[in-house]
Amino acid sequence: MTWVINIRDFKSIADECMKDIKVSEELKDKTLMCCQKKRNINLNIRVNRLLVPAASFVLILATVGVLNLLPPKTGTGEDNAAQPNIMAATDNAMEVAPGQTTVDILSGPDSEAIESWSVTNPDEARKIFGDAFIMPGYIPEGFKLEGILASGYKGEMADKIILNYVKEELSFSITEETKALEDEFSGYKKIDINGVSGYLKEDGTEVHWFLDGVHYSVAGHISSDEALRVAASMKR
Amino acid sequence: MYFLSVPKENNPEKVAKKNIDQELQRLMDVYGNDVLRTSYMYLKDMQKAEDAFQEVFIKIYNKFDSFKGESSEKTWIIKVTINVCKDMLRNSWIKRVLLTDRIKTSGRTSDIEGRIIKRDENKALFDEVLSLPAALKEVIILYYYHAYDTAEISKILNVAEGTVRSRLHRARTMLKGKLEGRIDLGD
Repeated sequence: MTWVINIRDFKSIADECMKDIKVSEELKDKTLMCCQKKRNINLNIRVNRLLVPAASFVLILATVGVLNLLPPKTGTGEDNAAQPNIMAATDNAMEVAPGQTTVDILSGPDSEAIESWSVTNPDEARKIFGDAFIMPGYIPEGFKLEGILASGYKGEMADKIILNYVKEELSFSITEETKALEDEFSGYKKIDINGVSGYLKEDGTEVHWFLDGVHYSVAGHISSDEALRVAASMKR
Repeated sequence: MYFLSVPKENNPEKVAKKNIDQELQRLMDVYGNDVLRTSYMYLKDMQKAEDAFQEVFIKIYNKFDSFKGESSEKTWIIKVTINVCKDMLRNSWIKRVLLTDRIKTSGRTSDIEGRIIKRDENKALFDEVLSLPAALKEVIILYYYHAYDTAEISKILNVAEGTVRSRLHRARTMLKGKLEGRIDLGD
């Protein structure tokens, strides 16, 4: 068998060989979630960086207070007077320092901007997303809820919630999104989820359905059957 | 408290930072497949390629400010991808020793790899490129897959342009030997 391959065709050959390698929405969501976590950690570090100098400042104030109030040859009785003054200096400094850091770090992101943040539990997710938020009644065995990510315009209700489930190396996510348009799902199999129409992609499992203007989806490293069971278990 | 706070400044740089999530989403939409496929070719493993993808975009996210537009957005992202993959290869022996559990691949991943293996004879070239030594493979990927010229490649890899040319030459010779003359190198 003889054939000649032109290396100049490497791009098309490689793309053909890798046509199944595409970035899934799940991978993007997971990546965004990781970035989010790192940003929170960095924020904490920044808080610490500001608090350490603030604490040092307090210490300096206190020390100066002590030195000023303790003359080289202390007379009797003056030691007692020094004590309340040290405390006063400390208190004042403490009032200023944390207040300043709060303003610097937490002061307003632009209200027009979309932000994402981690949510600690499903109840909180319901509070910020509203009654359209649904937790699944069924989760494939061994999977655990690893994190909840919300996004939306600052100061408004969240318009997207992502629930991430993991089991060792495997993971899948449930996405709930308001303000979503019913995209074209060409190539997807039409299915029924609790009486509303939905879409299934079996290759790299994805299940999508729309209910009262909310786009729900289940996607990731689980079989189509499992994904459909999860979807069917999501009832208001 | 966070919601109630009043925006203090309208500095455009700060505002840009606030849109960083959207920007990351856009970059993943536009360049995601390039990053994932480049990582796959470099690392020859779907799970590792996905790990690399995450690492690349985390780096991009953290280094947003340092992108000065000296190169194109794509070149910047591909450079980060190559560096992340290099680090992963360098550290792979540590992972093999310490984190053997992580080497398990998911069902979906091995399906993809299985399907890839069945391809036609063009696959021979793809396989041979993937099994080249890293230093030769990266020039082939950058030159033939991403269509960068040798000057651009020298900037991405931080090596002299002459080195890029000699690596390209060595890579072509090696491929010719492996594919026993079935390859047209367009010389």
